[in-house]
Amino acid sequence: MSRLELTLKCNPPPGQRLNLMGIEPARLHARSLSEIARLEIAVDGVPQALGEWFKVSGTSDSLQLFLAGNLACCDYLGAAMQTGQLHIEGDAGDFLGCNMRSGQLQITGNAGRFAGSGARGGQILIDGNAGDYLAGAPSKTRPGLRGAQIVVHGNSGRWTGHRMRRGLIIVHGSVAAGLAMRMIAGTIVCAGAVDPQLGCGMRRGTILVLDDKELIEEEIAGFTPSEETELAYLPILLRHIRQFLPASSQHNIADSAKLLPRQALRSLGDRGIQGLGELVVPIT
Amino acid sequence: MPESNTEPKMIEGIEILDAFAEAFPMTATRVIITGADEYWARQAAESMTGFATSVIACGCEAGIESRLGTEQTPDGRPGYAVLLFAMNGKELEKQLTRRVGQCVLTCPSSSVFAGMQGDKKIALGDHVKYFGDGYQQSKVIDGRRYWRVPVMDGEFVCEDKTSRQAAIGGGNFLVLSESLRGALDACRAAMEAMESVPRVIMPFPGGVARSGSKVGSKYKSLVASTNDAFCPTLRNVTNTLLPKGVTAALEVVIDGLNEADVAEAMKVGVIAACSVGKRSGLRAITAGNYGGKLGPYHFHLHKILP
Repeated sequence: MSRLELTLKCNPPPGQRLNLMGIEPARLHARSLSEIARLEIAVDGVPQALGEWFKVSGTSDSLQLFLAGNLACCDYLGAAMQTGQLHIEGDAGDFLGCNMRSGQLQITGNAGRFAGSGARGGQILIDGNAGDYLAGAPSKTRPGLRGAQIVVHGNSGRWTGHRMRRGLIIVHGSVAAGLAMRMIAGTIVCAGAVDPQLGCGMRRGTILVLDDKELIEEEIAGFTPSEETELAYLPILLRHIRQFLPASSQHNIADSAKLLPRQALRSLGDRGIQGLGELVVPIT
Repeated sequence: MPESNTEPKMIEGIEILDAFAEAFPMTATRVIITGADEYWARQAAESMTGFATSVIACGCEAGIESRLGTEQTPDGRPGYAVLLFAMNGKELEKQLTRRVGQCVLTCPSSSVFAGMQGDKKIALGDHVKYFGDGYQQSKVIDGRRYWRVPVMDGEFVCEDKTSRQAAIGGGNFLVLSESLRGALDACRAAMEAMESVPRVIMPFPGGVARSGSKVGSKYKSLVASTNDAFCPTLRNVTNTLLPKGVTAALEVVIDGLNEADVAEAMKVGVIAACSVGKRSGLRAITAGNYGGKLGPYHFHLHKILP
């Protein structure tokens, strides 16, 4: 398989951060290896050549980029990615795939904070855990996720979907406190346990909880008591997300695509700000 | 209008006159309507395609294209595919949104989705959403936006946009019979066979028009008037095109998404009509045109039939 490979040569001293903003398949496409090695990255804010830190190999003919090494110190991996495929072997730092436009980004390890922040399109697959502020907003003036799709096979940290405006997040594992805080719109699907401290300041959007049925029976601050409701859009959503869910959740939704549920327990919030966000647990 | 002096073509003993149907360019869209069960899906589809026989006064021509199984609809419920035809995109969008608002939104348990994907987008739920009075919510799933409008039976789900494409309206054939019963039976047989042809609709009542029209009228306000050449009661006072002994003529009108589909529907319909046989009174099949001056699509019966 023809792909371009960047391998981190050595670990930077503790506390030092590498900013890899702009190192993405479209920008590197069709460049020579020496040209790529001369591209600038920022190390603690100081411009340095990419080649000083990474071994550059392979070919840039295709739009496939492979990154390896201990990348937990590398921030902005796949940031503003335009197209192609970016595969990260191991962990990544903060702002993974932030402001991404299109393409597919896959990471085999854990992602740091603010993964997918501001991403408008494309798909981010995180095989490990996601840190705090997954798809969250980096500042008060900018929204979080803006249209991309993020699938986390592990757990996600605090404040997942903070100020998220559009898009889809699917978390297979557990979700920590602060889920959907100030969420504007979009969909968050939780296949594992969910901390009941959620939805504070939520305006619109959907939190779909698949396996944590006790959650909706709890009194969630700012949310209406749950009621059984027929949601006509639910089968359409479930049909789409089914392929991204763990096998146990797929089975829980329905035995076959024909029997996708429309009935759900739903509560609305955050009513403290007249929000119409919804917490939905399908009745299967 | 039959073309003269050529060898007669026969199917099941019925003469196929050497005539052609003249059809026009239109624009069309498809929507998928679903319901809690087939009964309610059909109610919504029939309501939406009501009063849509001719663009002359209805604004659009519409009909049910096919019944859809649960595996063919976006929400896994029974549904119907509906085709709407109009003369331009603006009118099509106007008719579509009005009909969705008045006929589908109002029908219990219904939902409506885009039935075709293309570059030319038109509004489907983009206006209807305001019925939600601020409580409507959108949900983008797999790149497609759906509106969820709260209604008294739950929520009405309506896709934001559908697409339109170039289409053809006015394909037709005429059934000429010695009796009205014979003509009706032939048309029924034709319609039953044509229901299986995809991408076409027959917009008139039962697929059939008895009031075939000619362009213009002695009255200035009318753009079309009765086709006197095919009216049996005017046989002796006008330039009739009815063969001797024919007392009833009925016209099957076909709109389709492309030429091949219209031709296929005409072929299937004519063969089925002829299958009722001479004993029912059926005498001949012809087609309606305006001398070839009005529409660019000409479907010659002798070319499309085996």
